Amino acid sequence: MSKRGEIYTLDAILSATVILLTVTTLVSLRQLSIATTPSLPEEELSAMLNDMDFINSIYANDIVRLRLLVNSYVSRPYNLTIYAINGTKLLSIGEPLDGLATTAVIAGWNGTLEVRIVSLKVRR
Amino acid sequence: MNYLLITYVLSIMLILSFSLAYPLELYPIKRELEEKAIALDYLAVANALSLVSKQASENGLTPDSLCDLFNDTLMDEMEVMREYSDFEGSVLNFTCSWNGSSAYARVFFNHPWGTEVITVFLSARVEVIRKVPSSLTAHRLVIAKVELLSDRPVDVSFYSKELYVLNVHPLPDQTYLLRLFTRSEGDIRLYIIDERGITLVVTINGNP
Repeated sequence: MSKRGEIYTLDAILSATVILLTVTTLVSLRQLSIATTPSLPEEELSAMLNDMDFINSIYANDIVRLRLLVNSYVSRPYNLTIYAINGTKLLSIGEPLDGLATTAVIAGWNGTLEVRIVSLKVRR
Repeated sequence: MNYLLITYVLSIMLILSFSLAYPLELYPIKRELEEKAIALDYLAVANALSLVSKQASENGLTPDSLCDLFNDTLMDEMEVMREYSDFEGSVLNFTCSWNGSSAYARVFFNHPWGTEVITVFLSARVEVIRKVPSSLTAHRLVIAKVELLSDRPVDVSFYSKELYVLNVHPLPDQTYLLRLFTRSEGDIRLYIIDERGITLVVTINGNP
């Protein structure tokens, strides 16, 4: 084989290797799913769940008091929505926000077994 | 080197078309904060104790039936929380008691990170300071001091079926001065209910 022929062969082998590597990498990446931990207002909701006024306001459907309490815990735009166990929206305060919410299920309060689902979204 | 150059161009085009066709999938993983789980544990225990204390103050419960009711309520709450959320706690062991002037519950919860102990209690000590019989009317005035002890500061309300007027004067350290005006003879059953719904019943001797 001439020297020119050898160069072409080497070039073709390198090219084939690059193509093969690219395709293999892309196929491997396709199978990957990257896990992320979203920034959720878990700490704010935890603090509010420790406040008996907050719990009493939820069960009393006291929107005015809830707004005052949440404003004292959250300094950014938020949306707090309370649902019943069947998914009925009982009340919502704040502004409509997209994205993931942090939630908590309160199994009952004041000697009742009335479930309330608390959903909090905060704009980051 | 012509093939290699063409290959680079092809590879870049492949990567671009692939990234447009199949964007990387990002799976958000929600991590439950320990503080939130502990707060929910506390609410569950407080609610179960509230239910038990209400039943006991109205109907009277034996210690066994009291603990059974507490256990059933707590299990129902755990089931609901596990079913409708990512709550992973379970009850390991518990103790509870109610004797009129004191309500107490301690529950050991098992969580993925370890065991948490939640204690909820409310107790009251009533001291009659003065009894003033009225010579003009049938009313009697009883002045009593109520000292409350609880696992966290709580607001309370007082009521009684036998009382004509009830005047409550708060003092520091969860202590209250009560002026009780009553028409009836005999003991006064005073109900003490805190903001968690935990109910106590203390008996005050209203006789002169």
